[in-house]
Amino acid sequence: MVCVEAMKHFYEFMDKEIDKSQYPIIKEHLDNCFECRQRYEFEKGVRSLVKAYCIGTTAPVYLHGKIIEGINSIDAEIPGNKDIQAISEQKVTRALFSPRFYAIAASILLLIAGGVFYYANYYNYNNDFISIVDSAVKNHVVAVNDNLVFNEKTSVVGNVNKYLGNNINTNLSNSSPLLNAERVSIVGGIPVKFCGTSSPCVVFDKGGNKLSLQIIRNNNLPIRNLERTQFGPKQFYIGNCRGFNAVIWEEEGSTYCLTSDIDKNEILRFAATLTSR
Amino acid sequence: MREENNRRKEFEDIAMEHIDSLYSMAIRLVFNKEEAEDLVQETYLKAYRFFDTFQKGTNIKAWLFKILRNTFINKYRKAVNLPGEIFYEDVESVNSNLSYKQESDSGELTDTLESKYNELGNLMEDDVKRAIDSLPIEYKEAILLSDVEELSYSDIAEITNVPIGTVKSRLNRGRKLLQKSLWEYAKDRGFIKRGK
Repeated sequence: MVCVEAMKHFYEFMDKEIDKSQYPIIKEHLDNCFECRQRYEFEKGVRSLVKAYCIGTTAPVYLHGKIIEGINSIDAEIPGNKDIQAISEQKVTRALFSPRFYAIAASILLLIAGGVFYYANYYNYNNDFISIVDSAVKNHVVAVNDNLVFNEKTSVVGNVNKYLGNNINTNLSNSSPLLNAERVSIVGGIPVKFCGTSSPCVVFDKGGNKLSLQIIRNNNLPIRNLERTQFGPKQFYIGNCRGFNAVIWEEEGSTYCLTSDIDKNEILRFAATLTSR
Repeated sequence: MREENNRRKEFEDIAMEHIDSLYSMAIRLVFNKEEAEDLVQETYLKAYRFFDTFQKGTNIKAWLFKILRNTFINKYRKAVNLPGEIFYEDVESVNSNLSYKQESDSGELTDTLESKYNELGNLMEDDVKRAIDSLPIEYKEAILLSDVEELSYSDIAEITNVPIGTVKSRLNRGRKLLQKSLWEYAKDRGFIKRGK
């Protein structure tokens, strides 16, 4: 056997995947050919380096526990073979549609959902305690997300005012009339920028998060049904809806509502800085 | 309920022992500890959910690796199809033989096979990591499954969803690339050592 021939089956030989009848032939060649033997040793050296390196990489100890925890919660689920159906369905659909198809479908759905979300804003809701937060969140989302370039650098107070006044406020006359920012005094010296004086008015906290402030003039709203918190000298009502937090408080006969997707405590702290003492 | 417990026990008995292997592969795929942990965890949870579909008596490690791989692909949506795979096997064996010959004929001492082998001792852990990580993903996974996990060609073919011939050619190509980069790193280290 010549080296070229032996080399052809070299890896299969080393991987123990070679045909049994071929094995002794290659073995004999390796035993007798100095050069091939060295190649063999070199390859063996490389493999043991790779193996040693990879075996040295072990999973962190806590991972085992985390997985067992996950398995526990699977066991806690209602048993059934729904999952199996789900996976076989998934497999079929995956073969039918490409990821790109899904991406396009998802964007179209998102567009539709966005539209629905926006126009839902125009409908009047019953003034129950959920709808206060719900419409506050909707107003917030429309005010903030409808204009994605809405940030400290690009927004000019006058323009934002115009934008909010024409597009948002006119349709919200029931729940949120014009907000007079003059009436909100800022305490604590946090650099806050008010953009626009209409309700909802968009506020930036120092982290650059967008919050919106609205005045709810309807005093009959059952806000007292919301979760109540005392922060400093003031009482606040907190509601949560679709991942947004709303903090509501009363001051001099007006009801204010601050909405944002930031943490509950953060927003509460921020609301406290907006109240006058 | 007892049936559930048995299933659970069996899963823990035969699957959990492969956690290090899966993690080691995961980290070579995503290069990040947290993501590797997530990937392994997801793999195990998926495996547990679908443990009924595992064929008793077949290689559980290969089955777990297949789930890991699918989870990885789904998660990262990486294009796993090789750009025009060519079957080099025959051509390459001849060529590599020639290149070895040329090396030994070149008269340069550092290039003989014997010194090549000796130089491997100069390699640091980081070099090995670098060499493995820089391999194209298809070669890397084939090499790790074969050389580290010692899975058979047919298991690797099953995991990576390609014919055995493709596995062989990936191993061939991959190992040559790996040898080349390791050898180059070793040479560099050797020079540094000699320079002292």
